[in-house]
Amino acid sequence: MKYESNFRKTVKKFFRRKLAVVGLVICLVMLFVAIMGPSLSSYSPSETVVEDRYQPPSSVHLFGTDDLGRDMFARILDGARITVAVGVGSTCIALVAGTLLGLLAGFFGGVFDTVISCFMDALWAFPAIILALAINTVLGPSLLNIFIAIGVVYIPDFFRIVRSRTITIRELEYVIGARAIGQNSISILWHYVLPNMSSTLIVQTTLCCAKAVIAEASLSFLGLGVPLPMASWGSMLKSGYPLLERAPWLSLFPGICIMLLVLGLNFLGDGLRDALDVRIRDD
Amino acid sequence: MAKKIVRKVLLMLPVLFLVSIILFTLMEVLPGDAAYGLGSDVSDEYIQQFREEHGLDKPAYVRYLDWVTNMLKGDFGVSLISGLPIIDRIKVRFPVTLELTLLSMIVAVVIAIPAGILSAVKRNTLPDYLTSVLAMVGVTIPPFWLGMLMVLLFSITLGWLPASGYVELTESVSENLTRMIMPALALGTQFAATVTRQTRSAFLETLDQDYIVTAKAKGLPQRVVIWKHALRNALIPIVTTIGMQTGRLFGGAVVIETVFTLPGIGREIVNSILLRDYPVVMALIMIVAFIVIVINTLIDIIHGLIDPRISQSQQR
Amino acid sequence: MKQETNQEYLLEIKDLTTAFLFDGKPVPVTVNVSYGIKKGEILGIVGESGSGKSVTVKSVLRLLPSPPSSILNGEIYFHGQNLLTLKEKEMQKIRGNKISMIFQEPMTSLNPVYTCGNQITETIMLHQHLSKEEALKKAARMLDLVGIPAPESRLKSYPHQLSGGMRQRVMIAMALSCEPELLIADEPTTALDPTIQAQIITLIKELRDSIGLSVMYITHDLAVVAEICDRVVVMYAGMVMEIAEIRDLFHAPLHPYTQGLMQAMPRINQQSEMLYNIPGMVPHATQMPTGCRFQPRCPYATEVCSQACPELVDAGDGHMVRCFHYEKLRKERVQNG
Repeated sequence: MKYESNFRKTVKKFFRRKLAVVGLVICLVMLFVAIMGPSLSSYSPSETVVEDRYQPPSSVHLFGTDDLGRDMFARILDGARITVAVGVGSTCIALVAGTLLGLLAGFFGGVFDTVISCFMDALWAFPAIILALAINTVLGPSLLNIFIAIGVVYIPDFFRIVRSRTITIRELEYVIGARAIGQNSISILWHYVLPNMSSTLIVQTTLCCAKAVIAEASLSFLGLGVPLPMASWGSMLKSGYPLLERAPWLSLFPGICIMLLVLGLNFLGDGLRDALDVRIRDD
Repeated sequence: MAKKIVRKVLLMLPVLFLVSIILFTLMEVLPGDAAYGLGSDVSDEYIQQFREEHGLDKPAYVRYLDWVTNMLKGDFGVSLISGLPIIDRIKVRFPVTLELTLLSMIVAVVIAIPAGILSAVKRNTLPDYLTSVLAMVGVTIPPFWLGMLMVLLFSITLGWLPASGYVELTESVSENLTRMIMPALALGTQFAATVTRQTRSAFLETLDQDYIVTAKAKGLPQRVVIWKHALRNALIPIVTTIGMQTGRLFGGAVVIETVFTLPGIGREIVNSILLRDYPVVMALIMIVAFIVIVINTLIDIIHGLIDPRISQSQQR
Repeated sequence: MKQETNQEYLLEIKDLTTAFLFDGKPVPVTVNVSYGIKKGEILGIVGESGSGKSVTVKSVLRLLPSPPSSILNGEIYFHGQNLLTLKEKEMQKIRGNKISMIFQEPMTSLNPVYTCGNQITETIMLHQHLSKEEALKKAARMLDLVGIPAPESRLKSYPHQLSGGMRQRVMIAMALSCEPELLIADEPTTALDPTIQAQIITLIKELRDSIGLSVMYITHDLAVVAEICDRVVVMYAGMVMEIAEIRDLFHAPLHPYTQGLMQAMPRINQQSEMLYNIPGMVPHATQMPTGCRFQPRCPYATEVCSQACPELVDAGDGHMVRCFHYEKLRKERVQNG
């Protein structure tokens, strides 16, 4: 009962914020586009039509065509798939690994905590893109490896929040009480500690997703992202950049899409943060 | 105070150690070593000789120890491709990245902190809305794409600024700056936007505190309340953000240097990864990580200076 | 206007209506509040939380942020001058100088990043234009006055190095450092434990006697009122319900709300194990009942109470009360002895 009414209150609070709703709509649309992919367009993203090269945006080719005469709109729809997949996939890796390590380190403390924390500090010391670059190089080019490379980079983000929250919650009376009546550690973590930080995690996940999207775009722009022939919005920017003068739309539309997605995720995250009333530092 | 700083500096060592371990391990599990880079038309003997020459045949822990001790002596090894000492290349490349990051940081901080304060003090007015919208856009825009847009506008369309290239500061200050201003802005925008948002929220939170009411009740004018009582408290989270963002700045520099073809450390890292010149990659990343760790330590020390509560608890 | 002010009063609040924005609309949280404080007097202002006590006194120093607050109506006279019409610059010369204020939360009312000395001397240098050294000497004297041992070394302490009681003493020292005529104490002991509370109350009483300070003492605790105040203003839901001398109030409360508050006071010689509680809660500013604002919780309420709001009337000897049935209460009191 109590939970239900709290949940309703949160939903109400969320929908009262216009920007949050805008963010939610953007994210849902992007998700829809990513799932449907190029089937939303009558053009194929890979079909090259030599006589249609470098067509500026028009009613025929909504976003124009590229140097090989491919329809940019279809390519963008196709790229959404990769971009969204990397954003969600790598965030999932960071979320699961960071939360797990944070829970264990915070709950058990001791040497384990010290070692893991120090390791996370070390990971934190690498600039995100450089670390992702290095990991990705090690793993070799594949979609899954991009997930891992970017995911690992953001593990410390989750780890730090979860660990400090766990330490706080660990000392709360009802957790001590649960311990006193002999509940085992895993059940305490699962039933008491984790639900207590769920709202923090939800917000952090949204914001992390936004960071992951930018990271993927950066990697792909450097030519070290998803392997060909896969094309994310980032790799479209890479191939569009040398043609900036000839066909600026090739650089414009993928960039706008990235920004829109990141904007949507940020609006959503901010809205959730207010609605769920959690505090996370902006970083 | 001195004791505290020493402690902080000592605390850097285990992190640095772990960073070097992570880096070394990463490079160790890389498929193939530099001998791969020699191509397929060289003889097996030559590859063998090459490996011995560069110590690639020794066990990993020996190579790790060699690497670390040499680095401590200031010797970062030689590039596998050019055979030249890496330190020479660092000396050339590092100032470019340093100028880029410093420039963007200065521009960002000079704009961001006053903008954030203005936004907080004039909450829910037009200047606040404008600042908040701009900051939101700044946070979400990918830096390298912003760079591309700038090139499109200022170089291609208007023809005001050169799109690429680098001129050393010592050669010509104006030439240097006309080439650095776009990269610095592109790189600094996200930084500035984040700092603006943090400043705004930190100030709003601080202005809500009881001691601000006390300060007003004492009859202090608004400017003293803000610049003395609120600023120093709000600065604590702001400094944290600046510290965390600095690491990101170096990451961003990698991409920005590629957009504007600046011969900095970031571009060198990307090139070296593509060429599998691992000693160079390791040395450069190690340096970047070292700088980030030093900056974080500095931030910790600055915290202690701003907030007496921190320095007290650490003395115990 | 000036001649209308009561010469007896050091500070007089007249018909003060302060509003806050709720969902974008200004809603009055205090309505036509009028009371005054005499020189050398300790005036208690009592009421449950949400009764508008704090809003009223913060309006006196104009400390409420605007928006969301705004003063819709009223005057506040200090030495015959209406504070509400003063320019911000002139107001700054009064705050901390002529009228000082101390707050409920000593733990958070001092700025954590500056030393106590810095924060006290800041006020002194601002209003009295003393040099740093003179200000420091004076600050040390003030700390001594409020009973802080080793004042010179305490000046170098940061707030977090002091206990709650000590911090409230520092706040008092700071508030008194420019010899104000009026001290507004907004629940200064609520956050402190009982022994410290008693010490602070004793200190305020002593200061009144030794330097002739006037004190507006806000509290929800009638026991504290009984201990320290000369006169009492009882507020409920943003309105003044009763104003009386301390003896009159405790011997013959004329408002059912005051009576309820007194019954809710724990007594050592009380036999019953249940503590009386006024049923219900203070209504929110946006949901005020019609008629008398206390009527839904009042045991004496009749039909008339929900139809009109009673005026604040003089029930004799300056004992003011806002209730249709105060005569009934008086009679009951006489019958019960």
